[in-house]
Amino acid sequence: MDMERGIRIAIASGKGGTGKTTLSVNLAAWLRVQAGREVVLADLDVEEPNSGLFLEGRLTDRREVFRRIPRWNKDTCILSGECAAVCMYNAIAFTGSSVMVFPELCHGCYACSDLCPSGSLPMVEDRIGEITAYGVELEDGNEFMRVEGRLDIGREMATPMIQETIGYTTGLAGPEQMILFDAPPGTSCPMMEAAKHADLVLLVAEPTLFGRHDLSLAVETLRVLEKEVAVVINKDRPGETIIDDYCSKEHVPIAGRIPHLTEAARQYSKGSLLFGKVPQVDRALKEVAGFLEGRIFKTSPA
Amino acid sequence: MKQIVIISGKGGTGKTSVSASLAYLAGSRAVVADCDVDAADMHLVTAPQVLERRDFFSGYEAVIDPEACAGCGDCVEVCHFDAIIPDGDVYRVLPLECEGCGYCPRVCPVEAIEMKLLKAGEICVSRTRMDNVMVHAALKIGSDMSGKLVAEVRKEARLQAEKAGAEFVIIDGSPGTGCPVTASITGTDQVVLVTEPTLSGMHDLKRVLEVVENFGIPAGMIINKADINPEITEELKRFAEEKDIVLLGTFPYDDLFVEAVNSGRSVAEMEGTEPARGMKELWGKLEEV
Repeated sequence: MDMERGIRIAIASGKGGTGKTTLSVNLAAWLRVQAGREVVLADLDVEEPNSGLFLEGRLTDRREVFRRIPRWNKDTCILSGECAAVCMYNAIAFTGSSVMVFPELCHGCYACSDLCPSGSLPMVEDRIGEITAYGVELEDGNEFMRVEGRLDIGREMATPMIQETIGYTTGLAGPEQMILFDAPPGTSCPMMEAAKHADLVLLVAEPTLFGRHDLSLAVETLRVLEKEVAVVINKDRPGETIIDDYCSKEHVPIAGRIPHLTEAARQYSKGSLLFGKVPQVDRALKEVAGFLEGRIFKTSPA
Repeated sequence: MKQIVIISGKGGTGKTSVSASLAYLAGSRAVVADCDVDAADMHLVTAPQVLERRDFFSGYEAVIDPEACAGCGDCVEVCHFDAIIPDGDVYRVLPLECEGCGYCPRVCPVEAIEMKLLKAGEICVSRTRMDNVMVHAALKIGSDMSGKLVAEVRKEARLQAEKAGAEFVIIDGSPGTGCPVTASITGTDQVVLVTEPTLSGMHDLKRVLEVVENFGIPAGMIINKADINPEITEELKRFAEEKDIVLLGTFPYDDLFVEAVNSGRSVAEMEGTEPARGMKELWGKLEEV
Protein backbone atom coordinates (compact mmCIF):
# COMPACT_ATOMS: atom_id res chain seq x y z
CA MET A 1 0.00 0.00 0.00
CA ASP A 2 1.27 3.44 -0.88
CA MET A 3 1.68 5.13 2.50
CA GLU A 4 3.09 8.29 0.97
CA ARG A 5 -0.27 9.63 0.00
CA GLY A 6 -2.39 8.75 2.99
CA ILE A 7 -4.85 5.95 3.48
CA ARG A 8 -8.13 6.07 1.62
CA ILE A 9 -11.23 4.25 2.74
CA ALA A 10 -14.45 4.41 0.71
CA ILE A 11 -17.73 3.86 2.51
CA ALA A 12 -20.30 2.66 0.03
CA SER A 13 -23.46 0.61 -0.32
CA GLY A 14 -25.31 -1.09 -3.16
CA LYS A 15 -28.52 0.56 -2.04
CA GLY A 16 -29.24 4.00 -0.62
CA GLY A 17 -30.45 4.54 2.92
CA THR A 18 -28.46 1.74 4.52
CA GLY A 19 -26.41 3.94 6.84
CA LYS A 20 -23.48 4.90 4.64
CA THR A 21 -23.42 8.51 5.78
CA THR A 22 -24.11 7.51 9.39
CA LEU A 23 -21.02 5.32 9.36
CA SER A 24 -18.92 7.93 7.51
CA VAL A 25 -19.56 10.83 9.85
CA ASN A 26 -19.38 8.82 13.06
CA LEU A 27 -16.31 6.86 12.04
CA ALA A 28 -14.55 10.10 11.10
CA ALA A 29 -15.32 11.50 14.57
CA TRP A 30 -14.27 8.25 16.27
CA LEU A 31 -10.97 8.05 14.41
CA ARG A 32 -10.21 11.67 15.22
CA VAL A 33 -11.08 11.57 18.91
CA GLN A 34 -10.47 7.99 20.00
CA ALA A 35 -7.65 6.96 17.70
CA GLY A 36 -6.04 10.40 17.35
CA ARG A 37 -5.88 10.06 13.57
CA GLU A 38 -5.64 12.95 11.15
CA VAL A 39 -8.90 12.55 9.27
CA VAL A 40 -10.45 14.12 6.19
CA LEU A 41 -14.01 13.20 5.29
CA ALA A 42 -14.94 13.74 1.63
CA ASP A 43 -18.63 13.64 0.77
CA LEU A 44 -18.75 12.21 -2.75
CA ASP A 45 -22.50 11.64 -2.80
CA VAL A 46 -22.60 14.66 -5.07
CA GLU A 47 -26.27 14.38 -6.02
CA GLU A 48 -27.32 14.31 -2.37
CA PRO A 49 -24.44 15.26 -0.08
CA ASN A 50 -25.83 14.89 3.42
CA SER A 51 -22.82 14.57 5.70
CA GLY A 52 -23.03 18.30 6.49
CA LEU A 53 -26.38 17.75 8.19
CA PHE A 54 -24.53 15.83 10.92
CA LEU A 55 -21.34 17.83 11.15
CA GLU A 56 -21.39 21.53 11.71
CA GLY A 57 -18.28 23.28 10.60
CA ARG A 58 -16.91 26.60 9.55
CA LEU A 59 -16.45 27.15 5.86
CA THR A 60 -12.77 27.31 4.95
CA ASP A 61 -12.86 27.14 1.17
CA ARG A 62 -15.32 27.23 -1.68
CA ARG A 63 -14.64 26.76 -5.35
CA GLU A 64 -16.73 26.32 -8.42
CA VAL A 65 -16.24 23.26 -10.58
CA PHE A 66 -16.29 23.58 -14.32
CA ARG A 67 -15.95 21.21 -17.17
CA ARG A 68 -15.42 22.17 -20.79
CA ILE A 69 -18.02 21.98 -23.52
CA PRO A 70 -18.08 23.32 -27.09
CA ARG A 71 -19.69 26.66 -27.94
CA TRP A 72 -20.68 27.43 -31.48
CA ASN A 73 -19.16 30.46 -33.12
CA LYS A 74 -21.56 31.28 -35.91
CA ASP A 75 -19.38 33.98 -37.44
CA THR A 76 -16.59 31.62 -38.43
CA CYS A 77 -18.65 28.44 -39.03
CA ILE A 78 -18.53 27.17 -42.61
CA LEU A 79 -21.47 24.79 -42.05
CA SER A 80 -19.54 21.61 -42.83
CA GLY A 81 -21.68 19.55 -40.46
CA GLU A 82 -18.56 17.68 -39.34
CA CYS A 83 -19.29 18.37 -35.65
CA ALA A 84 -22.65 16.64 -35.64
CA ALA A 85 -21.23 13.78 -37.69
CA VAL A 86 -18.44 13.05 -35.20
CA CYS A 87 -20.49 13.38 -32.01
CA MET A 88 -21.46 9.95 -30.65
CA TYR A 89 -23.77 11.39 -28.01
CA ASN A 90 -26.17 13.42 -30.18
CA ALA A 91 -25.01 16.45 -28.25
CA ILE A 92 -24.72 18.48 -31.46
CA ALA A 93 -27.45 19.07 -33.98
CA PHE A 94 -26.69 20.45 -37.44
CA THR A 95 -29.71 21.89 -39.23
CA GLY A 96 -27.95 22.87 -42.47
CA SER A 97 -27.89 26.52 -41.51
CA SER A 98 -27.01 26.40 -37.84
CA VAL A 99 -25.41 24.28 -35.10
CA MET A 100 -26.95 23.57 -31.71
CA VAL A 101 -25.09 22.24 -28.69
CA PHE A 102 -26.94 20.24 -25.99
CA PRO A 103 -24.68 20.51 -22.93
CA GLU A 104 -26.51 17.82 -20.92
CA LEU A 105 -25.60 15.23 -23.55
CA CYS A 106 -21.98 16.31 -24.00
CA HIS A 107 -19.26 14.08 -22.52
CA GLY A 108 -16.49 16.59 -23.19
CA CYS A 109 -14.47 14.46 -25.61
CA TYR A 110 -13.31 17.47 -27.70
CA ALA A 111 -13.82 15.59 -31.00
CA CYS A 112 -16.20 18.18 -32.48
CA SER A 113 -14.03 21.07 -31.35
CA ASP A 114 -10.70 19.64 -32.55
CA LEU A 115 -12.05 18.25 -35.82
CA CYS A 116 -14.05 21.33 -36.85
CA PRO A 117 -12.40 22.50 -40.09
CA SER A 118 -12.93 26.18 -39.26
CA GLY A 119 -12.26 26.05 -35.50
CA SER A 120 -15.79 27.26 -34.78
CA LEU A 121 -16.48 25.17 -31.69
CA PRO A 122 -14.04 26.37 -29.05
CA MET A 123 -14.26 24.56 -25.70
CA VAL A 124 -15.56 26.87 -22.96
CA GLU A 125 -16.15 26.53 -19.24
CA ASP A 126 -19.46 25.13 -18.05
CA ARG A 127 -20.26 25.09 -14.33
CA ILE A 128 -21.37 21.71 -12.96
CA GLY A 129 -21.24 22.32 -9.23
CA GLU A 130 -19.05 23.38 -6.35
CA ILE A 131 -16.66 22.03 -3.78
CA THR A 132 -16.72 23.35 -0.23
CA ALA A 133 -14.37 22.59 2.66
CA TYR A 134 -15.16 22.92 6.34
CA GLY A 135 -13.30 22.72 9.62
CA VAL A 136 -15.47 20.48 11.77
CA GLU A 137 -15.08 21.09 15.47
CA LEU A 138 -16.04 18.27 17.78
CA GLU A 139 -17.27 18.94 21.30
CA ASP A 140 -13.94 18.20 22.95
CA GLY A 141 -11.98 20.63 20.79
CA ASN A 142 -10.79 18.04 18.29
CA GLU A 143 -11.07 19.13 14.70
CA PHE A 144 -11.10 17.50 11.30
CA MET A 145 -11.75 18.60 7.75
CA ARG A 146 -14.84 17.82 5.74
CA VAL A 147 -14.93 18.33 1.98
CA GLU A 148 -18.17 18.27 0.06
CA GLY A 149 -18.81 17.99 -3.67
CA ARG A 150 -22.23 19.24 -4.70
CA LEU A 151 -23.55 18.87 -8.23
CA ASP A 152 -25.89 21.61 -9.46
CA ILE A 153 -29.45 20.28 -9.67
CA GLY A 154 -30.35 18.63 -12.95
CA ARG A 155 -26.72 18.16 -14.03
CA GLU A 156 -25.75 14.70 -15.16
CA MET A 157 -22.06 15.07 -14.50
CA ALA A 158 -21.71 13.11 -11.26
CA THR A 159 -18.53 11.31 -12.28
CA PRO A 160 -16.46 14.40 -13.22
CA MET A 161 -17.77 16.13 -10.08
CA ILE A 162 -16.56 13.18 -7.99
CA GLN A 163 -13.18 13.18 -9.72
CA GLU A 164 -12.74 16.87 -8.98
CA THR A 165 -13.72 16.41 -5.34
CA ILE A 166 -11.31 13.51 -4.92
CA GLY A 167 -8.53 15.51 -6.57
CA TYR A 168 -9.20 18.46 -4.28
CA THR A 169 -9.24 16.26 -1.15
CA THR A 170 -6.14 14.25 -1.92
CA GLY A 171 -4.33 17.47 -2.79
CA LEU A 172 -4.91 18.65 0.78
CA ALA A 173 -4.14 15.46 2.62
CA GLY A 174 -0.65 14.61 3.80
CA PRO A 175 0.85 11.15 4.16
CA GLU A 176 -0.36 10.79 7.76
CA GLN A 177 -3.90 11.53 6.80
CA MET A 178 -6.72 9.06 6.66
CA ILE A 179 -9.27 9.99 4.00
CA LEU A 180 -12.81 8.68 4.26
CA PHE A 181 -14.91 8.87 1.09
CA ASP A 182 -18.66 8.93 1.66
CA ALA A 183 -19.41 7.35 -1.71
CA PRO A 184 -22.57 7.67 -3.80
CA PRO A 185 -24.95 4.70 -3.47
CA GLY A 186 -25.53 2.11 -6.16
CA THR A 187 -23.21 0.16 -8.40
CA SER A 188 -22.88 2.38 -11.45
CA CYS A 189 -20.11 4.76 -12.56
CA PRO A 190 -20.30 7.29 -9.70
CA MET A 191 -19.83 4.62 -7.02
CA MET A 192 -17.09 2.95 -9.05
CA GLU A 193 -15.31 6.26 -9.46
CA ALA A 194 -15.18 6.74 -5.69
CA ALA A 195 -14.15 3.13 -5.07
CA LYS A 196 -11.42 3.27 -7.70
CA HIS A 197 -9.45 5.75 -5.62
CA ALA A 198 -9.76 3.84 -2.34
CA ASP A 199 -7.43 1.31 -0.75
CA LEU A 200 -10.34 -0.49 0.85
CA VAL A 201 -14.10 -0.27 0.49
CA LEU A 202 -16.46 -0.68 3.43
CA LEU A 203 -19.91 -1.71 2.21
CA VAL A 204 -22.76 -0.92 4.56
CA ALA A 205 -25.63 -3.41 4.37
CA GLU A 206 -28.88 -4.00 6.22
CA PRO A 207 -29.93 -7.53 7.09
CA THR A 208 -32.90 -7.72 4.71
CA LEU A 209 -33.47 -9.50 1.39
CA PHE A 210 -33.14 -6.15 -0.38
CA GLY A 211 -29.96 -5.46 1.57
CA ARG A 212 -28.38 -8.78 0.66
CA HIS A 213 -29.27 -8.44 -3.00
CA ASP A 214 -27.85 -4.92 -3.29
CA LEU A 215 -24.76 -5.95 -1.33
CA SER A 216 -24.13 -8.81 -3.73
CA LEU A 217 -24.30 -6.42 -6.71
CA ALA A 218 -21.85 -4.06 -5.02
CA VAL A 219 -19.43 -6.87 -4.17
CA GLU A 220 -19.51 -8.13 -7.78
CA THR A 221 -18.86 -4.63 -9.07
CA LEU A 222 -15.92 -4.10 -6.73
CA ARG A 223 -14.47 -7.44 -7.76
CA VAL A 224 -14.30 -6.12 -11.31
CA LEU A 225 -12.21 -3.27 -9.89
CA GLU A 226 -10.18 -5.78 -7.84
CA LYS A 227 -10.82 -3.83 -4.66
CA GLU A 228 -10.44 -5.07 -1.13
CA VAL A 229 -13.89 -5.13 0.43
CA ALA A 230 -15.34 -5.53 3.92
CA VAL A 231 -18.91 -5.30 5.18
CA VAL A 232 -20.43 -3.32 8.03
CA ILE A 233 -23.87 -4.58 8.99
CA ASN A 234 -26.21 -1.76 9.98
CA LYS A 235 -29.47 -2.24 11.90
CA ASP A 236 -28.10 -5.59 12.96
CA ARG A 237 -30.63 -7.81 14.72
CA PRO A 238 -29.74 -10.75 16.90
CA GLY A 239 -30.59 -13.99 15.12
CA GLU A 240 -30.82 -12.44 11.65
CA THR A 241 -27.91 -13.98 9.74
CA ILE A 242 -28.82 -13.16 6.14
CA ILE A 243 -25.74 -10.93 5.62
CA ASP A 244 -23.44 -13.16 7.70
CA ASP A 245 -24.40 -16.13 5.53
CA TYR A 246 -23.72 -14.21 2.36
CA CYS A 247 -20.36 -12.95 3.63
CA SER A 248 -19.14 -16.35 4.73
CA LYS A 249 -20.17 -17.87 1.41
CA GLU A 250 -18.41 -15.14 -0.56
CA HIS A 251 -15.43 -14.86 1.81
CA VAL A 252 -16.05 -11.20 2.51
CA PRO A 253 -14.90 -10.12 6.00
CA ILE A 254 -17.31 -8.37 8.36
CA ALA A 255 -15.66 -5.27 9.81
CA GLY A 256 -18.34 -4.52 12.36
CA ARG A 257 -22.03 -4.38 13.23
CA ILE A 258 -24.14 -1.43 14.26
CA PRO A 259 -27.13 -2.72 16.21
CA HIS A 260 -30.74 -1.92 15.32
CA LEU A 261 -31.75 0.74 17.86
CA THR A 262 -34.70 3.10 17.90
CA GLU A 263 -32.53 5.58 19.78
CA ALA A 264 -30.03 5.61 16.91
CA ALA A 265 -32.85 6.27 14.43
CA ARG A 266 -34.10 9.15 16.59
CA GLN A 267 -30.67 10.77 16.91
CA TYR A 268 -30.11 10.31 13.17
CA SER A 269 -33.42 11.98 12.31
CA LYS A 270 -32.34 15.14 14.16
CA GLY A 271 -29.00 15.19 12.40
CA SER A 272 -27.05 14.27 15.54
CA LEU A 273 -23.85 12.30 15.67
CA LEU A 274 -24.33 8.94 17.39
CA PHE A 275 -20.69 8.92 18.48
CA GLY A 276 -20.49 9.60 22.19
CA LYS A 277 -24.27 9.40 22.58
CA VAL A 278 -25.21 5.81 21.91
CA PRO A 279 -22.77 3.43 23.66
CA GLN A 280 -23.67 0.46 21.46
CA VAL A 281 -22.75 2.51 18.41
CA ASP A 282 -19.43 3.55 20.01
CA ARG A 283 -18.63 -0.13 20.48
CA ALA A 284 -19.45 -0.78 16.82
CA LEU A 285 -17.24 2.10 15.68
CA LYS A 286 -14.38 0.75 17.79
CA GLU A 287 -14.83 -2.62 16.13
CA VAL A 288 -14.73 -1.10 12.63
CA ALA A 289 -11.75 1.11 13.49
CA GLY A 290 -9.93 -1.91 14.92
CA PHE A 291 -10.59 -3.81 11.72
CA LEU A 292 -9.21 -0.94 9.63
CA GLU A 293 -6.14 -0.56 11.83
CA GLY A 294 -5.39 -4.26 11.45
CA ARG A 295 -6.04 -4.25 7.73
CA ILE A 296 -4.36 -1.04 6.73
CA PHE A 297 -1.80 -0.16 9.34
CA LYS A 298 -1.15 -3.77 10.33
CA THR A 299 -1.14 -2.69 13.96
CA SER A 300 -3.32 -3.55 16.90
CA PRO A 301 -6.39 -1.42 17.62
CA ALA A 302 -5.82 1.87 19.41
CA MET B 1 -53.74 4.60 -19.13
CA LYS B 2 -52.35 6.32 -16.06
CA GLN B 3 -48.67 6.26 -15.19
CA ILE B 4 -47.77 6.53 -11.51
CA VAL B 5 -44.13 6.89 -10.50
CA ILE B 6 -42.88 6.30 -6.96
CA ILE B 7 -39.68 8.13 -6.03
CA SER B 8 -37.91 9.12 -2.83
CA GLY B 9 -34.78 11.18 -3.41
CA LYS B 10 -33.15 9.44 -0.46
CA GLY B 11 -32.70 5.68 -0.35
CA GLY B 12 -34.15 3.45 2.34
CA THR B 13 -37.37 5.36 2.90
CA GLY B 14 -39.62 2.47 1.84
CA LYS B 15 -40.12 3.35 -1.81
CA THR B 16 -39.93 -0.21 -3.08
CA SER B 17 -42.16 -1.45 -0.24
CA VAL B 18 -44.79 1.04 -1.40
CA SER B 19 -44.31 0.17 -5.09
CA ALA B 20 -44.61 -3.56 -4.45
CA SER B 21 -47.74 -3.04 -2.34
CA LEU B 22 -49.37 -1.00 -5.10
CA ALA B 23 -48.42 -3.68 -7.63
CA TYR B 24 -50.10 -6.30 -5.42
CA LEU B 25 -53.24 -4.24 -4.92
CA ALA B 26 -53.57 -3.35 -8.60
CA GLY B 27 -52.96 -6.90 -9.84
CA SER B 28 -53.68 -7.39 -13.54
CA ARG B 29 -54.95 -3.82 -13.85
CA ALA B 30 -51.36 -2.56 -13.76
CA VAL B 31 -48.15 -3.09 -15.63
CA VAL B 32 -45.21 -2.66 -13.28
CA ALA B 33 -41.89 -1.09 -14.34
CA ASP B 34 -38.81 -1.40 -12.14
CA CYS B 35 -36.80 1.72 -12.96
CA ASP B 36 -34.70 1.71 -9.80
CA VAL B 37 -31.62 0.97 -11.83
CA ASP B 38 -29.22 1.17 -8.90
CA ALA B 39 -31.08 -1.21 -6.65
CA ALA B 40 -33.62 -3.12 -8.69
CA ASP B 41 -35.14 -5.04 -5.81
CA MET B 42 -38.79 -5.28 -6.66
CA HIS B 43 -38.40 -8.73 -8.19
CA LEU B 44 -37.46 -10.07 -4.76
CA VAL B 45 -41.07 -9.47 -3.69
CA THR B 46 -43.02 -9.83 -6.93
CA ALA B 47 -41.27 -13.05 -8.08
CA PRO B 48 -41.55 -12.47 -11.83
CA GLN B 49 -41.51 -15.35 -14.30
CA VAL B 50 -39.71 -14.16 -17.38
CA LEU B 51 -41.77 -14.37 -20.58
CA GLU B 52 -39.47 -12.51 -22.95
CA ARG B 53 -35.96 -11.21 -22.64
CA ARG B 54 -33.85 -9.24 -25.05
CA ASP B 55 -30.43 -7.68 -25.05
CA PHE B 56 -30.14 -3.97 -24.59
CA PHE B 57 -27.28 -2.29 -26.42
CA SER B 58 -26.09 1.15 -25.60
CA GLY B 59 -22.83 2.97 -25.93
CA TYR B 60 -19.59 2.07 -27.61
CA GLU B 61 -16.11 1.10 -26.65
CA ALA B 62 -12.95 1.57 -28.69
CA VAL B 63 -11.00 -1.59 -29.48
CA ILE B 64 -7.47 -1.45 -30.87
CA ASP B 65 -6.36 -4.32 -33.10
CA PRO B 66 -2.83 -5.06 -31.83
CA GLU B 67 -1.89 -6.62 -35.19
CA ALA B 68 -2.77 -3.43 -37.06
CA CYS B 69 -1.59 -0.85 -34.50
CA ALA B 70 1.49 1.04 -35.67
CA GLY B 71 2.30 2.26 -32.17
CA CYS B 72 2.26 5.95 -33.12
CA GLY B 73 0.29 7.03 -30.04
CA ASP B 74 -1.92 9.53 -31.89
CA CYS B 75 -4.92 7.98 -30.15
CA VAL B 76 -3.43 8.64 -26.70
CA GLU B 77 -2.92 12.28 -27.64
CA VAL B 78 -6.59 12.89 -28.40
CA CYS B 79 -8.18 10.81 -25.64
CA HIS B 80 -9.51 13.07 -22.88
CA PHE B 81 -10.43 10.15 -20.64
CA ASP B 82 -6.95 8.63 -20.21
CA ALA B 83 -8.43 5.42 -21.53
CA ILE B 84 -5.52 4.34 -23.77
CA ILE B 85 -2.25 2.97 -22.41
CA PRO B 86 0.92 1.52 -23.96
CA ASP B 87 1.06 -2.27 -24.13
CA GLY B 88 4.48 -3.35 -25.41
CA ASP B 89 5.03 -1.74 -28.81
CA VAL B 90 1.35 -1.02 -29.31
CA TYR B 91 -1.54 0.54 -27.38
CA ARG B 92 -4.64 -0.81 -25.74
CA VAL B 93 -7.93 0.59 -24.42
CA LEU B 94 -9.01 0.41 -20.77
CA PRO B 95 -12.68 -0.56 -21.11
CA LEU B 96 -13.72 0.93 -17.75
CA GLU B 97 -12.27 4.33 -18.70
CA CYS B 98 -13.41 4.49 -22.34
CA GLU B 99 -16.40 6.80 -22.87
CA GLY B 100 -17.01 5.55 -26.39
CA CYS B 101 -16.64 9.01 -27.93
CA GLY B 102 -15.21 7.73 -31.20
CA TYR B 103 -12.47 10.36 -31.43
CA CYS B 104 -9.48 7.96 -31.52
CA PRO B 105 -10.53 5.94 -34.62
CA ARG B 106 -10.80 9.23 -36.50
CA VAL B 107 -7.15 10.06 -35.94
CA CYS B 108 -5.65 6.58 -36.25
CA PRO B 109 -3.50 6.65 -39.40
CA VAL B 110 -3.69 2.88 -39.93
CA GLU B 111 -7.38 2.35 -39.08
CA ALA B 112 -6.54 -0.03 -36.26
CA ILE B 113 -9.36 1.15 -33.97
CA GLU B 114 -12.93 -0.01 -34.15
CA MET B 115 -15.93 1.19 -32.14
CA LYS B 116 -17.72 -1.81 -30.70
CA LEU B 117 -21.40 -1.54 -29.75
CA LEU B 118 -21.81 -2.63 -26.15
CA LYS B 119 -24.39 -4.83 -24.54
CA ALA B 120 -25.51 -2.80 -21.53
CA GLY B 121 -27.89 -5.36 -20.11
CA GLU B 122 -31.12 -7.21 -20.64
CA ILE B 123 -34.71 -6.09 -20.60
CA CYS B 124 -37.23 -8.65 -19.36
CA VAL B 125 -40.98 -8.80 -19.71
CA SER B 126 -42.37 -11.05 -17.00
CA ARG B 127 -45.49 -12.05 -15.16
CA THR B 128 -45.43 -11.56 -11.40
CA ARG B 129 -47.05 -13.80 -8.82
CA MET B 130 -49.34 -10.79 -8.24
CA ASP B 131 -50.67 -11.15 -11.79
CA ASN B 132 -49.04 -7.99 -13.16
CA VAL B 133 -47.02 -7.82 -16.29
CA MET B 134 -43.64 -6.52 -15.11
CA VAL B 135 -40.89 -4.90 -17.15
CA HIS B 136 -37.48 -4.94 -15.53
CA ALA B 137 -33.86 -4.84 -16.51
CA ALA B 138 -30.57 -6.26 -15.49
CA LEU B 139 -27.69 -3.90 -16.15
CA LYS B 140 -24.29 -5.39 -16.84
CA ILE B 141 -21.73 -4.57 -14.17
CA GLY B 142 -19.94 -1.34 -14.92
CA SER B 143 -22.50 -0.19 -17.48
CA ASP B 144 -23.47 3.42 -17.10
CA MET B 145 -26.44 3.68 -19.33
CA SER B 146 -29.01 3.97 -16.59
CA GLY B 147 -30.95 6.93 -18.00
CA LYS B 148 -31.31 5.29 -21.39
CA LEU B 149 -32.18 1.98 -19.83
CA VAL B 150 -34.91 3.60 -17.73
CA ALA B 151 -36.33 5.18 -20.88
CA GLU B 152 -36.27 1.78 -22.58
CA VAL B 153 -38.01 0.05 -19.64
CA ARG B 154 -40.64 2.80 -19.58
CA LYS B 155 -41.29 2.45 -23.30
CA GLU B 156 -41.68 -1.30 -23.06
CA ALA B 157 -44.02 -0.92 -20.06
CA ARG B 158 -46.27 1.44 -22.02
CA LEU B 159 -46.40 -0.96 -24.95
CA GLN B 160 -47.25 -3.84 -22.62
CA ALA B 161 -49.96 -1.79 -20.93
CA GLU B 162 -51.52 -0.91 -24.28
CA LYS B 163 -51.35 -4.52 -25.40
CA ALA B 164 -52.97 -5.81 -22.22
CA GLY B 165 -55.40 -2.91 -21.90
CA ALA B 166 -54.01 -2.18 -18.42
CA GLU B 167 -55.33 0.93 -16.67
CA PHE B 168 -52.12 1.74 -14.81
CA VAL B 169 -48.37 1.68 -15.17
CA ILE B 170 -46.73 1.61 -11.73
CA ILE B 171 -43.12 2.74 -11.88
CA ASP B 172 -40.62 2.12 -9.09
CA GLY B 173 -38.42 5.14 -9.83
CA SER B 174 -34.71 5.78 -9.54
CA PRO B 175 -32.98 7.46 -6.62
CA GLY B 176 -31.01 10.68 -6.81
CA THR B 177 -31.62 13.82 -8.85
CA GLY B 178 -29.83 12.91 -12.08
CA CYS B 179 -30.66 11.44 -15.44
CA PRO B 180 -32.30 8.18 -14.28
CA VAL B 181 -34.80 9.97 -12.05
CA THR B 182 -35.61 12.44 -14.83
CA ALA B 183 -36.20 9.51 -17.17
CA SER B 184 -38.39 7.87 -14.50
CA ILE B 185 -40.62 10.92 -14.10
CA THR B 186 -40.98 12.31 -17.60
CA GLY B 187 -44.42 11.81 -19.13
CA THR B 188 -46.05 10.33 -16.01
CA ASP B 189 -49.43 11.42 -14.64
CA GLN B 190 -48.73 11.23 -10.92
CA VAL B 191 -45.61 11.38 -8.78
CA VAL B 192 -45.64 9.71 -5.36
CA LEU B 193 -42.85 10.89 -3.06
CA VAL B 194 -41.95 8.50 -0.26
CA THR B 195 -40.07 10.29 2.47
CA GLU B 196 -39.12 10.01 6.14
CA PRO B 197 -38.94 12.63 8.88
CA THR B 198 -35.17 12.92 9.06
CA LEU B 199 -33.01 15.87 8.12
CA SER B 200 -31.53 13.85 5.25
CA GLY B 201 -34.99 12.76 4.08
CA MET B 202 -36.21 16.34 4.09
CA HIS B 203 -33.09 17.61 2.34
CA ASP B 204 -33.25 15.01 -0.43
CA LEU B 205 -36.99 15.49 -0.86
CA LYS B 206 -36.48 19.17 -1.54
CA ARG B 207 -33.76 18.45 -4.07
CA VAL B 208 -35.77 15.87 -5.98
CA LEU B 209 -38.86 18.08 -5.87
CA GLU B 210 -36.96 20.68 -7.89
CA VAL B 211 -36.72 18.05 -10.62
CA VAL B 212 -40.42 17.14 -10.30
CA GLU B 213 -41.48 20.79 -10.46
CA ASN B 214 -39.78 21.16 -13.83
CA PHE B 215 -42.28 18.70 -15.24
CA GLY B 216 -45.41 20.20 -13.66
CA ILE B 217 -46.72 16.75 -12.73
CA PRO B 218 -49.08 16.48 -9.73
CA ALA B 219 -47.26 15.11 -6.70
CA GLY B 220 -48.42 13.29 -3.57
CA MET B 221 -46.42 12.48 -0.45
CA ILE B 222 -46.15 9.53 1.88
CA ILE B 223 -44.36 10.03 5.20
CA ASN B 224 -42.91 6.74 6.36
CA LYS B 225 -41.55 6.19 9.89
CA ALA B 226 -43.55 9.31 10.85
CA ASP B 227 -43.14 8.80 14.61
CA ILE B 228 -39.33 8.80 14.55
CA ASN B 229 -39.37 12.58 14.63
CA PRO B 230 -42.83 14.18 15.06
CA GLU B 231 -41.45 17.71 14.64
CA ILE B 232 -39.95 17.01 11.21
CA THR B 233 -43.12 15.13 10.27
CA GLU B 234 -45.09 18.32 10.98
CA GLU B 235 -42.56 20.31 9.00
CA LEU B 236 -42.92 17.91 6.07
CA LYS B 237 -46.70 18.32 6.20
CA ARG B 238 -46.43 22.10 6.16
CA PHE B 239 -43.93 21.91 3.32
CA ALA B 240 -46.31 19.66 1.35
CA GLU B 241 -49.15 22.12 1.82
CA GLU B 242 -47.01 25.03 0.65
CA LYS B 243 -45.96 23.15 -2.45
CA ASP B 244 -49.44 21.84 -3.30
CA ILE B 245 -48.41 18.30 -2.63
CA VAL B 246 -51.27 16.04 -1.50
CA LEU B 247 -50.50 14.11 1.68
CA LEU B 248 -51.42 10.57 0.63
CA GLY B 249 -50.66 8.87 3.93
CA THR B 250 -48.37 8.43 6.90
CA PHE B 251 -46.93 5.21 8.30
CA PRO B 252 -45.42 4.87 11.76
CA TYR B 253 -42.08 3.10 12.09
CA ASP B 254 -42.87 -0.60 11.92
CA ASP B 255 -40.61 -3.67 11.84
CA LEU B 256 -43.34 -5.20 9.72
CA PHE B 257 -41.77 -3.55 6.64
CA VAL B 258 -38.60 -5.62 7.21
CA GLU B 259 -40.59 -8.74 8.10
CA ALA B 260 -42.56 -8.44 4.87
CA VAL B 261 -39.45 -8.07 2.70
CA ASN B 262 -37.61 -10.90 4.43
CA SER B 263 -40.55 -13.23 3.82
CA GLY B 264 -40.73 -12.16 0.17
CA ARG B 265 -44.05 -10.38 0.56
CA SER B 266 -45.30 -6.87 0.03
CA VAL B 267 -46.53 -4.90 3.05
CA ALA B 268 -50.05 -4.95 1.58
CA GLU B 269 -50.08 -8.73 1.95
CA MET B 270 -49.47 -8.65 5.71
CA GLU B 271 -53.15 -9.33 6.31
CA GLY B 272 -54.86 -7.76 9.30
CA THR B 273 -52.06 -5.29 10.07
CA GLU B 274 -52.20 -1.52 10.23
CA PRO B 275 -49.56 -0.93 7.50
CA ALA B 276 -51.43 -3.27 5.13
CA ARG B 277 -54.61 -1.29 5.71
CA GLY B 278 -52.64 1.91 5.11
CA MET B 279 -51.43 0.60 1.73
CA LYS B 280 -55.02 -0.25 0.72
CA GLU B 281 -56.14 3.24 1.62
CA LEU B 282 -53.25 4.69 -0.36
CA TRP B 283 -54.12 2.66 -3.43
CA GLY B 284 -57.75 3.76 -3.09
CA LYS B 285 -56.62 7.39 -3.25
CA LEU B 286 -54.33 6.82 -6.22
CA GLU B 287 -57.04 4.98 -8.14
CA GLU B 288 -59.27 8.01 -7.85
CA VAL B 289 -56.82 10.83 -8.54
